Amino acid sequence: MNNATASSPPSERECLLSAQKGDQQAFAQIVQSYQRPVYNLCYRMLGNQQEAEDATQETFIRAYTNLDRFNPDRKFINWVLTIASNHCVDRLRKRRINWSSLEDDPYVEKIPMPESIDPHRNAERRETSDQMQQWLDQLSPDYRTPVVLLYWYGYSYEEIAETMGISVPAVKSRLHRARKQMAKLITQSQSSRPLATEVPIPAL
Amino acid sequence: MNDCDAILQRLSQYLDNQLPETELSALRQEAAPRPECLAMLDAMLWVHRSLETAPMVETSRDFSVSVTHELIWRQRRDKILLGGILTLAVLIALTPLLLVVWGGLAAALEPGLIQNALSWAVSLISDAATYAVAALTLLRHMPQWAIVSISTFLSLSFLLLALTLVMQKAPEQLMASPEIHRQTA
Repeated sequence: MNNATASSPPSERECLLSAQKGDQQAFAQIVQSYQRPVYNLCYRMLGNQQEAEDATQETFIRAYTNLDRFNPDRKFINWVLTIASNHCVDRLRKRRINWSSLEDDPYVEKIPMPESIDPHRNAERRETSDQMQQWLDQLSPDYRTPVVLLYWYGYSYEEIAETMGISVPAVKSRLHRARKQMAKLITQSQSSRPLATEVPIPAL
Repeated sequence: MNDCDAILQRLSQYLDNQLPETELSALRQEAAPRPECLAMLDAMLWVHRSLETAPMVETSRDFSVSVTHELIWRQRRDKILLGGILTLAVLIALTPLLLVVWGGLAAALEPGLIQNALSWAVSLISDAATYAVAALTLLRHMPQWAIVSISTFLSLSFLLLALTLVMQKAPEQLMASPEIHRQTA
């Protein structure tokens, strides 16, 4: 056997084919390659580190046990992210939280809005990413999934629609509602909290 | 849909790259007379831009090890369950054969034994029938919710018992597996 061939790492396709034949070491390499995006998706969906780790592990186990259904000509990452998002949605639904729609909340409409938004106020006080995650956590699973897939994974509307099993117009509608709900949370936070906890909204 | 909703809807279309670049300033001009609408518009834009620049969350954990462990553990658990079911099935299948063999041997060695065994079996069946009739009478007068509750309780008890037995056996075998130690190392 050629030395160069023997020492070169197997390609993703080779790993997948080996894993489909039951090679767990080959699958472990796949896990190492994709654990970061899968964990990020689970964290963004669930908003909790421990639960995200559990969900990540479960996603890969489900991927392995259903590997015979995977078509190696397709992108593995898309397939495994679909499994992850479906699993996270199931977990969120099991939490039995009443995802109250802010669209229907009359309180939100009555909130006095600030006349102008100071672009730099408190900009350095708060980790925007953490705050964004908190607002993301307020969204229902159906709204959260398209947001995560669009902004962190650059999915097209068609890909999101395929992943979620809905139509493209439904994806657009959900994205609009999600953005609007998060915007309402921001304006609500601006008006209901003192300056020290105000959310910075940069210049637009 | 009120005017502000229409403006926000168009903003979403703009964010989805369905409208020209100049549309944003037009939307801001339309929203300007109403501070609350302008605030919502700015907040939506901020949400969009913050999400666009939000980083990937990192984890220091290597899932490849834990996934491999979990896969081996589940495979062993499934094997044990399958083995248990197969053993039970074989025992059930062999019982009539064993009875026939035992009956033949007993008849050959001690002729009276079969007769005694048969009379014992008949009395057992008779007792069982009496208990069954009593139970049926009781069930007939029992409300439906009680029957459902008892059935559920019994089913869950058997299920828990079976799971407990499997869970007790499986980890021991898992820890003893040289395969696991090799993969962990």
